[in-house]
Amino acid sequence: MKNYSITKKVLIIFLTLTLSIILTSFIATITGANYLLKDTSINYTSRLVGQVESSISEYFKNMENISEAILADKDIIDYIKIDSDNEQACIEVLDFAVDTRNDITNIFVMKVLEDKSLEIISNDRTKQINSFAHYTNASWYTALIENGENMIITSSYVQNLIEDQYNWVISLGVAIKDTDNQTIGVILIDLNYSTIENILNNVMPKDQGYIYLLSDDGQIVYHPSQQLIFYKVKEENVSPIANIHNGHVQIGNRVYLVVDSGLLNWKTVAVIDSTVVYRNTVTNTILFSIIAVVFIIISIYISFAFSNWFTKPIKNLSRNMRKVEQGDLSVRVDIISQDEIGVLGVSFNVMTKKLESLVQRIVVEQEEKRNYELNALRAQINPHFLYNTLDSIIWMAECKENDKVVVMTSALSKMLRASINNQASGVTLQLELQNAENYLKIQKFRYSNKLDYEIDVDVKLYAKKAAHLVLQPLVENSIYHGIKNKEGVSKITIKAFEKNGLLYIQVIDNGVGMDQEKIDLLFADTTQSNVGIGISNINRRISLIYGEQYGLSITSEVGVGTTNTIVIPSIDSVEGGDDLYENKYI
Amino acid sequence: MIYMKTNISKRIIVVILLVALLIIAFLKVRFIDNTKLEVIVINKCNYDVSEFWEVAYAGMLEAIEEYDVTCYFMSAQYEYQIEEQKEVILKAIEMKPDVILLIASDYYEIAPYANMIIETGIELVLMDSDVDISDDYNISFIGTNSKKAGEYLGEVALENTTTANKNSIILSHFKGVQTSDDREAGIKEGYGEDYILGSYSCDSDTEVAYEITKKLILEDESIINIFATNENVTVGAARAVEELGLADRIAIYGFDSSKEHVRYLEMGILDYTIIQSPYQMGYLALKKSIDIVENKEAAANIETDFLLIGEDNMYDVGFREILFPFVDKK
Repeated sequence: MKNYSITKKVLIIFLTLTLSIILTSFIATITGANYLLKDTSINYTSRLVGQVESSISEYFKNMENISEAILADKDIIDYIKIDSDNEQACIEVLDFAVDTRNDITNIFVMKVLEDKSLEIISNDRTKQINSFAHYTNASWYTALIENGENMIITSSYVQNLIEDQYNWVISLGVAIKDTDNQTIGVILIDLNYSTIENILNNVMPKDQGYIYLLSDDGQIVYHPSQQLIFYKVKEENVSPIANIHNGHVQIGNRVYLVVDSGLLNWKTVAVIDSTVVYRNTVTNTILFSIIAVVFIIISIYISFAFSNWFTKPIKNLSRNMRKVEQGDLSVRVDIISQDEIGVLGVSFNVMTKKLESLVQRIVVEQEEKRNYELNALRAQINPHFLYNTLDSIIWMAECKENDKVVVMTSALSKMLRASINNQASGVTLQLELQNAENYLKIQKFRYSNKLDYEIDVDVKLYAKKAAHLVLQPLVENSIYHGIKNKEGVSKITIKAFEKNGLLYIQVIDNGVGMDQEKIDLLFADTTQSNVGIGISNINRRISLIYGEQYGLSITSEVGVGTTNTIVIPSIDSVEGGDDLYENKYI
Repeated sequence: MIYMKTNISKRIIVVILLVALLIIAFLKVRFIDNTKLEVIVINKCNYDVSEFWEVAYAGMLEAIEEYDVTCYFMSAQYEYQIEEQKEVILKAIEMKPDVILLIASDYYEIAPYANMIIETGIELVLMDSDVDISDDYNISFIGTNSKKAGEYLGEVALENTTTANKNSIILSHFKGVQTSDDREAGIKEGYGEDYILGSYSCDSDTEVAYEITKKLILEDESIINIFATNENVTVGAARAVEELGLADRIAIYGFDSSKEHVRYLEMGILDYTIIQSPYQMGYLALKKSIDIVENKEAAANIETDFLLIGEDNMYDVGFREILFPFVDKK
């Protein structure tokens, strides 16, 4: 963390914050909403089961009404009570009742005989009563005839009272009693089993669960997968349900909702897979998850954007700082904000501005320093030379050689003038040549029998720019190192020519020459040298003025002579003022 | 600044794409899996030929509904139409279903066709009647163990036959049909082969069984037990005994159930009948067929239950449900 970039730190903090907020609210919402949804789901199913139960009860109440209607019929009562021989009339009554309803398979009217066996007539005259039928074990028989109950609604069972007909039915049985409260007759209404099936089957979508009916003695009255349960392919664990009255219980992943019937000895049980209960909650969770994911993506995006926006001025500042490091002091930071970073930016700008002016001042000072040096150089007109020249003039004056005095004094005067002419930017080649010539004129008087000179420069080059005070010291060197020690007349030639945009100025003598060692010595720092203006000084000045690639070179051969060559760029002098000035005082 | 702008719009596009991808992925998970499994059931006869097959059909329908598969039912009209079943098998192979559930009409004749199914790469599951295929092929068989059922019936008959004379005959429905032969073998084992005077093939026909019974019990008065190996033969035998009024002398031990069976049970003509659970069989066979393809379940033999029904227990809970199946006959 400590070594992370600020962007990363801001990002991590921002992300942690937003993500934890999103996740917390996500979990809170999901938990709350799912709890509500689950509750609603169970309540809804409970209501559904309640409705189913009441519609079944309602159904059986209707059946009771039918039985009462039959009981109210005089023919039927007569048949049972008075033992009248009116079976046909009874059948018509029953037939009529069955005809109106297609959920009734059969209605039986039974007369209890003395041995408790039954004389049975059914609504369907086309069918025979099954003479082999065993009915004494049937639940309705036990309840109505043996136990003397008034009414019974049976569980589902196979009705075998009619020949060749074995239907699954649920029966409503009503006892007809005499004044001694003895059962003398029974009306049995068989309800088609599929009626119940139809009521229950379409209540709940198959994939959500199912409803079954459980009798109080723990037997399944109706179950949508009855076959599979009897074949033990499927199981319905009814024992824990039998103890539940009007409520719900979750066993494993199944939720059982139980509603007790008031009228019937049944429970209506709805079984829903808990995944169904939770299905809405799952959809809900998925929906919320999508929303959360979207928010997370957005927050990640915002986090990135924010951290970038936040650290952008800092990055900008550090980028500019690097530029400063590399030496570019002209950089300035755009101040976007007035916050801490903005203040930092302002400080940065102030700092670079100060640095820049400081550096500029240093440059200016350097320039001045160089000028001082130049001035010092220029001031270095050899006092010996001055003394000698003046001595010569005195000597000439004593000999009354006035012409010579004039020439010499004039030359000296021009030289002195040239030396005080502070032209840092350089002078014309012509002026430089004149200076050298003045010097040569003076020296010619001293070494009249030894020195000869020639200036061989094309007039066209006169206007070229040249460094100030470079030729005269070279000439001086030639005299002192080349000619002074040589027997006979020596000659100094000054040449200048232009080549490839460069100006070559040469001082050539045919004096004693030098070996390389001596040349090297000359190029060494000779400020302490007795030779006056050092060769190295000329070379350095040229380099300072024009650049490192320009300068002075010396070639020499012992006994043959020395050639000094100055190479500078060939530049035309724009101002011709020096000449005018010069002419004025000549 | 221009750089920044393009950068932002790029990122926004990326975010939108991500969200879109997520939604697509979510929807795809919900809508995938739209190809239903295809099952072809080839029966040996039409389903309305007997109550047994009607109930088996209902069991299969239950499984089809529960597992949501596409199922085609194909069959010859009657069990003896072996050639027709062969053609039906060839047709079924052409349809390239995932699995074929075969109820073979003949143990030997149908075997090469069963092999053909296996060789084309279609899964094969056998139900009720086995065929003569190599044990190398691991094929599921769902059905009652006929021999065990026969043996049990034989034992019950032996227990109920208290007289010294135990002469009995067997009316089988088809010599060569595996259920017929196995039941016969089982009966002989359970009752004792020595007491069996003879076994007679009745072409699974009520009339034939009726005639043979009538002839045999009139010819040989020592016969006291008749074993009948399927529904029609049992009914034929019972009809003959009813007609001749020989219920007191002759006990019938039969197989399967029908309305007539129930009636003869109530009348005391049919003493006991072994009933299978066609509903269970149909349901389990189809479930197994689906499981083999869908869940890559290994092939296995599943023995379905059989029950002994007599007059005394026919209306009892647990027996009546199987004797009188709740099959919707609408």
